[in-house]
Amino acid sequence: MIRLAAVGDVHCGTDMGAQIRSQFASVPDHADALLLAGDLTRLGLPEEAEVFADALRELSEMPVAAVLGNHDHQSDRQDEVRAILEDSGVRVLEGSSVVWHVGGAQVAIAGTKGFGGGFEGTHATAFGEREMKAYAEHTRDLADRLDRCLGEVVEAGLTVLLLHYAPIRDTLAGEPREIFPFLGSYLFAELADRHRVDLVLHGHAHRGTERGSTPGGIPVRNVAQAVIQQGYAVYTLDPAQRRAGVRTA
Amino acid sequence: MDDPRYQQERIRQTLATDPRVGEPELGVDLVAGRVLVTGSVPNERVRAAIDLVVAEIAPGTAVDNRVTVPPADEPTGEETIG
Ligand SMILES: [Fe+2]
Ligand SMILES: [Fe+2]
Repeated sequence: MIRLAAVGDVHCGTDMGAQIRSQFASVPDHADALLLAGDLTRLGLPEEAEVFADALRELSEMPVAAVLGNHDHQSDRQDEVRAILEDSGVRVLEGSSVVWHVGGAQVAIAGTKGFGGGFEGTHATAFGEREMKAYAEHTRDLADRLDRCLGEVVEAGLTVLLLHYAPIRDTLAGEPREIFPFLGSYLFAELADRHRVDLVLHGHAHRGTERGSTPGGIPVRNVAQAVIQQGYAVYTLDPAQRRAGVRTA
Repeated sequence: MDDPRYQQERIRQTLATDPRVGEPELGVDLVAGRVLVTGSVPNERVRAAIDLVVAEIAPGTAVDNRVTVPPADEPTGEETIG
């Protein structure tokens, strides 16, 4: 069995080092690896990323992967934020993946920030003004990159898809419907279904709901800290139950 | 004087972009002449900054700050997937 700790939307400020350290101190007692679903920092400042990375240093034996969120882009210094996290041992995923051998099994974590656009039936289209095209194309570009990445990892064992933005409507329940198009995109659920991943984790929707599933039945969990109401959630996966294995059997 | 609905949205926009708060996910409503703010922030300092920022853009308006700091406790259980 593989035990994964996960949380998003910690929004670390420069004055939050002790708070973050205590939040994650117990992770090794509960899990084999830690996944961070974006919005690690409040304003996307390198000094915030330093505080966050420093607080995680006590988990040096633990595999940690992350995606960035919109807050991590707020100061337009996301490349510095990413470099600071990577230097401290956090694998920051964007259309990329990492494979770990933990809990006696192999698990691939594929990740992207994701973006908005909305959901099937009403998704944004790349039509009209340049700005509207750019909005729709950013989501499409991230999805295309993730598609290629998942094509390479899906047979490796268990696969977990890590996102910041939501891939389905279910886990947004509690948010105003008017902002759904800014909270996620169905393109990432479609990829989860096509590649038969085992679990999808996301954050971003602070007023949302923890549990949902893709149209193809893959579990989706919104791990925003304000949603799970604890330091992190723990999900246990059984390598014998993997979906890709079912498909190829 | 502005329609209060414009003031409500102006407060929401400022709570998103003012670096002392920086939280676009907060709810802002006008209830019985008071500004009701809901949602979550990472710590008490950001929570307190909400009152300061609203006082600057809407002087004299009462603020009902119901924003919470989410608990960061050790989990009490786990979920088995599949
Ligand atoms: Fe967030
Ligand atoms: Fe976010």
